[in-house]
Amino acid sequence: MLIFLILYFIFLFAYIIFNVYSILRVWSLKLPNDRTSLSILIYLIVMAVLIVTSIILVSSLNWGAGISEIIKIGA
Amino acid sequence: MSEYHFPVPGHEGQKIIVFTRRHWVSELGTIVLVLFLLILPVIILVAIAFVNPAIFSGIALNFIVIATSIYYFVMTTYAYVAWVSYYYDVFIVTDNEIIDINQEGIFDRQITEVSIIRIQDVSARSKGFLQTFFSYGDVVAESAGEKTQTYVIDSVPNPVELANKILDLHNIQITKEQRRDEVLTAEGDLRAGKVETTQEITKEFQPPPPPKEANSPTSVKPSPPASSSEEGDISKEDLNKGGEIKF
Repeated sequence: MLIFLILYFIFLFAYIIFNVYSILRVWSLKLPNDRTSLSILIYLIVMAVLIVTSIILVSSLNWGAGISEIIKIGA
Repeated sequence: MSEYHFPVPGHEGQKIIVFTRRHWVSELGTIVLVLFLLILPVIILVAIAFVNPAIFSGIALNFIVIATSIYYFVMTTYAYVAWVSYYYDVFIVTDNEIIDINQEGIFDRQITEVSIIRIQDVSARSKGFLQTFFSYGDVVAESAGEKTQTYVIDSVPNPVELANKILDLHNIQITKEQRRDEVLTAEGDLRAGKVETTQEITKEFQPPPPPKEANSPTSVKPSPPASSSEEGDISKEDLNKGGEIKF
């Protein structure tokens, strides 16, 4: 099961990198007196809430079980 | 990245007359879709909880948490990209240019510029219940010239007003540059100046007559008019000389 946890964190890392780059691109589109700053702030808050909630939930689960246990559940 | 800043490079001194975006009602489909996709996992999980509550215990819960997390990450980004596509897709009319910035997501941006003086025909179109009720629609502008180009500005508020504004600016620009006659000539409504006939044109290219030297012993008699042909044609004599065209 640990492999899924590692894949999850790899995805999370790539996702954060992608978001940082996207935010930089959006920042470059900024017009004077527009709502770019506000939108980026809201987006960052939502993303932070999602990531923190996700990590808290993931860390509260048992990741020590083996693949055999998953197969048992499937059967 | 500075090329994406407005004013668009080369337009710094221009005065912005109209700055508009698509009407928010035109984005209603995207808004409903995003809201539906945001609550979809909740509906599915509640349904699963009623059918088979045991699935929320044990190892399957790990998959559900990870899948739901990734789903919400992707959905949040999708919603934000949809907002970026709406918010940065702008239409600007300056005192002498139309600038249409078409934003598709974060990594696709197209800027179309057309000179107002090149605009020949502008029409406004509101189609359907929503467009009529919320007073928005498309503005279609056609440029003059041999290769007519059509520019469609989608779902802008008050399209009739915008179309009138563009035409007003077009007329102001023409008057300002005193090019009304030229534009009308290009459209075929008015021929500028006097039309010259072929004879008048060829007269301009005629060489000056040779000086008369009547008393000179070496003077050569001019060739008889009967043998010479019309100007620009090749006479028999000229053909014998090698086919030179005599003006």
